[in-house]
Amino acid sequence: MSESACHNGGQTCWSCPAVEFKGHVDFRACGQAAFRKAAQGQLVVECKRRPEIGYFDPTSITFEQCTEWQETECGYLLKGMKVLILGMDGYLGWPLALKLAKLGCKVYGIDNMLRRKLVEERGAQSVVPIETMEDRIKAANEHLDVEIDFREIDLMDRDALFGYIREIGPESIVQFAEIPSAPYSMADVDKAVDTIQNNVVGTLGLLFGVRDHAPDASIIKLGTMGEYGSPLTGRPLFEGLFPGDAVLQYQGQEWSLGGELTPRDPVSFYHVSKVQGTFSVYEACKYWWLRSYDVMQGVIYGNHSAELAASPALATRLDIDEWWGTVVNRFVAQAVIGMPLTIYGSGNQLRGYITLKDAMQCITRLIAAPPEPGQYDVVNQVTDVFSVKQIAMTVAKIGAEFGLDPEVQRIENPRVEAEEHPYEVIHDKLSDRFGFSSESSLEDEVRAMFATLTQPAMVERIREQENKLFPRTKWSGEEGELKVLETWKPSMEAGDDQAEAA
Amino acid sequence: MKKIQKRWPNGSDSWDTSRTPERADHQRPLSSDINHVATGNNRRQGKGMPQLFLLGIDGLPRWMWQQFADSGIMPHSRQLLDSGTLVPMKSAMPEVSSAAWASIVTGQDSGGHNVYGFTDLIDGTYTLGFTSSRTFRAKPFWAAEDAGPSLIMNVPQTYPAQPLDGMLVSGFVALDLDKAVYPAEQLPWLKERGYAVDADMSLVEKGKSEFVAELRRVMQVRCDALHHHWDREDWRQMMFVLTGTDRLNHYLWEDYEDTSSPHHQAFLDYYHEVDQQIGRILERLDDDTTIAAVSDHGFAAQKISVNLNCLLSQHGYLQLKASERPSYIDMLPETVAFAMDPGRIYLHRKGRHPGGTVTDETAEQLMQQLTTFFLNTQVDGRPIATAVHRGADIYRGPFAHRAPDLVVMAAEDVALSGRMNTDDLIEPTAINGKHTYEESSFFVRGHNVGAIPADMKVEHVLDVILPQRAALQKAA
Repeated sequence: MSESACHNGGQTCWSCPAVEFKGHVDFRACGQAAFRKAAQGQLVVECKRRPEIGYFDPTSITFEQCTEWQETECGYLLKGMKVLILGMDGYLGWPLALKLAKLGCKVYGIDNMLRRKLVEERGAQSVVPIETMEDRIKAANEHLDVEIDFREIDLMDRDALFGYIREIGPESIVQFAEIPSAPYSMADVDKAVDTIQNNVVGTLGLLFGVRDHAPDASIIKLGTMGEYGSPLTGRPLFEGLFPGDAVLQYQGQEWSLGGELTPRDPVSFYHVSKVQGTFSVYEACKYWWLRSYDVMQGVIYGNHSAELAASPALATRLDIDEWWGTVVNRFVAQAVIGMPLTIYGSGNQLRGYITLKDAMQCITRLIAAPPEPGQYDVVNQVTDVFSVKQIAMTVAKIGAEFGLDPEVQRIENPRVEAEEHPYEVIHDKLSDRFGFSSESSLEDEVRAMFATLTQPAMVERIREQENKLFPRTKWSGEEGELKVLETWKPSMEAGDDQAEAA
Repeated sequence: MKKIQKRWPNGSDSWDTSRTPERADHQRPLSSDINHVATGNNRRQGKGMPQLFLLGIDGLPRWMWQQFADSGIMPHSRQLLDSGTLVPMKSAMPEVSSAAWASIVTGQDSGGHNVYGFTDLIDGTYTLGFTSSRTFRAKPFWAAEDAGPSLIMNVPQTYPAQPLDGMLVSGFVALDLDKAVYPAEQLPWLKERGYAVDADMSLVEKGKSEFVAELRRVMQVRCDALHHHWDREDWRQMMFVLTGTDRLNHYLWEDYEDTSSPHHQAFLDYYHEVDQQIGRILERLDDDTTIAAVSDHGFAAQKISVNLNCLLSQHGYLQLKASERPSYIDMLPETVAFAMDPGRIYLHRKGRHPGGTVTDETAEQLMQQLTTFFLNTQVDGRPIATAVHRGADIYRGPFAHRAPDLVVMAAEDVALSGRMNTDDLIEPTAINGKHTYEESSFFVRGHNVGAIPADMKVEHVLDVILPQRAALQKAA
């Protein structure tokens, strides 16, 4: 990769989805061609967008030099890049669609609207009202002047999915179409099987579709930091693959671990599905020269971005119930209605976190800087590490700015997890290689959420699902209420803990 | 010599001695001889003879052809060579197939047709482009206004196939059969027959036997295609190039030279099979047709492949910024010279290259310095060059300004490479045979041919085989 002012300006056409691999040629033997990407020799490609270049060596043109790549706030981006978002109706899918469309991408999306259905079946609802997809797209057109193409397609309906892929020829595919809840996957056998089936089988089917119909598209696969677990040894959580100088020592001998997948220790059947997805994508890149970034995302929170702010009609969903709400979002909602912020066990569990806004920037940067054919890489999409207790204290503190005085409550831990553990997350790639720089913080995002959720209509929507906020799903499968261990008011504590990056 | 299974489906499995060189009536084949499966029984009926049949045999040295003809390995060739004139020919400079074939079919050197090698930098950029029919800027003989219907098959440097009066199937480097065939309506037949745009090189890794089997398969299907399409129309001129010979020479030259090699016989057998295909063509032609047979370069042993960019880099002429995959875009302004396959040297000139710094004033001294450098450099104890030519002295024509500044002619046993994506001064390779500038083959037989120049070169081929056309072109 050559140097460039912009993080991906030095990437070459070999990473560009618009070039078509034509063969490996060994000109020393008069141009005998091998049509496999694995072969030795000189790479030969043709550009689908600039056929006038003819056949050329893809490593001899950079994004910075190519007229089809234009500089944006997220690095060089292929003009009118065709991005297919699977799960576009979701918490992440919709804001990503808006951001990409605003940057000039041609955005396509599918969703089976399952999330809306499952949340409704739970008796819960997005605390921020969201429009139908039809109205969302109209609003995007009206307020952001962008066109988005959407089809209601189930990821599991491979005929429809493959047909759509064939039709649009995506240059990047974002796989968000997964059931994203650990407690849901632990609630009962049907939900566990649904999670595994949709996430594992859906992703596997997708990979075949990409192989056959869009082999040059980059796959941005959403994984989770929970795939790694939290090793009690304190082993750093590398970004998916061991660094080149990692060594295994055993019985007086040493073996290099460089480039191998790091151990996975998932913490629910949902996380198991994500681990399986990781292996499927890894293998597909190996077998078929597909290319992918596997995104180990930390716990996500917030509901703000520049595009979402353009109109309330563009809002993304914000769930707060036990199954579908992530911890920060749920704590803010609990604080708004005077419900104690429920911490599981000691509350010292450490996790990586990222705001929705930052996550959207990260994903966009990954789309903008595609991997090379056959390249599988992993990023840890995390900006901070907090303990659950630190999160609760921060929410409580900022709640006070809104006239709230929430309690914090430790309850019996419904999960099977270590409550006291080291947690060293390596998260350098996004900033070092993709130019990511965080634009939001826990405090700012929590403050912004309080500003939204303390509005009377929102308070009412939280109250309507009040009984869905307190956790009930036990990993053990046992029935019964979780015991309350301790309740206190942070405002009563002098010099209390403040949430800080660990 | 090992006896080879006959491919003529006349019931005999032994070599037909009636096709030996002694046979006097080779120009008048018996009708029974030509009733083979691929072409059908009635193909001669109502069909006129082509005025010209130009056969290419890629990489066949003149001396080897004569030797194989004389020794009985290539009996049809013996018959052919006895009926006309075979002379040594000089290749393009440097002796790269793409440039040589372009010269053969246009009658011009690289300055006239714009093909200097398989690769070239796109003007004003550091983008490494691959030469193709799109960058090939002179008209081949079949594109002349009065050329008449032509059947052109497997001629290198014609990909993607361009429209013509007739049919064309591109030769190497042809990346996709769909774009290698004109008119496209002929594509399904070729696909159905498993026509290969190139042999699968990866089979070399599996073993030489597998590789040779692949070359035989590819030759057979191409020859069958030739005869099938020959039968379809009255062609005024035909050109067909056998390219497996070059592949064989590259990878089995050591086996040819080493008579104890387990693959030595396979090398000879392949040429015997080539000769059978030559016989199959000759049987269909008579005195009315001018028959020419050419190769694009000679061949010799290769003991070492030297990467000139590594050499230039080691001595400071080429300076690259750190890169995982070095390419021409990584050249720093401090670079004064760089190489392209096989021995083309370009000064990093101001005004020609985006970051070039070499001016016309400093160019002369630099070229002298580089010439001395290449002539005096040894790698692994071997000199690497026998001569260094100036591009300005070699090339003529509208594209001469795109020529390399210097052309390094490789020394014996040495092949030169200008790849950028390697750090190996001595490149590891399975290739053990290399092209030579001298001793390609030129054969002609016909009533209406021009004089063969004493110093025959690839760009003279059309002057000899199509003298009127060449004269008209020169007059124009």
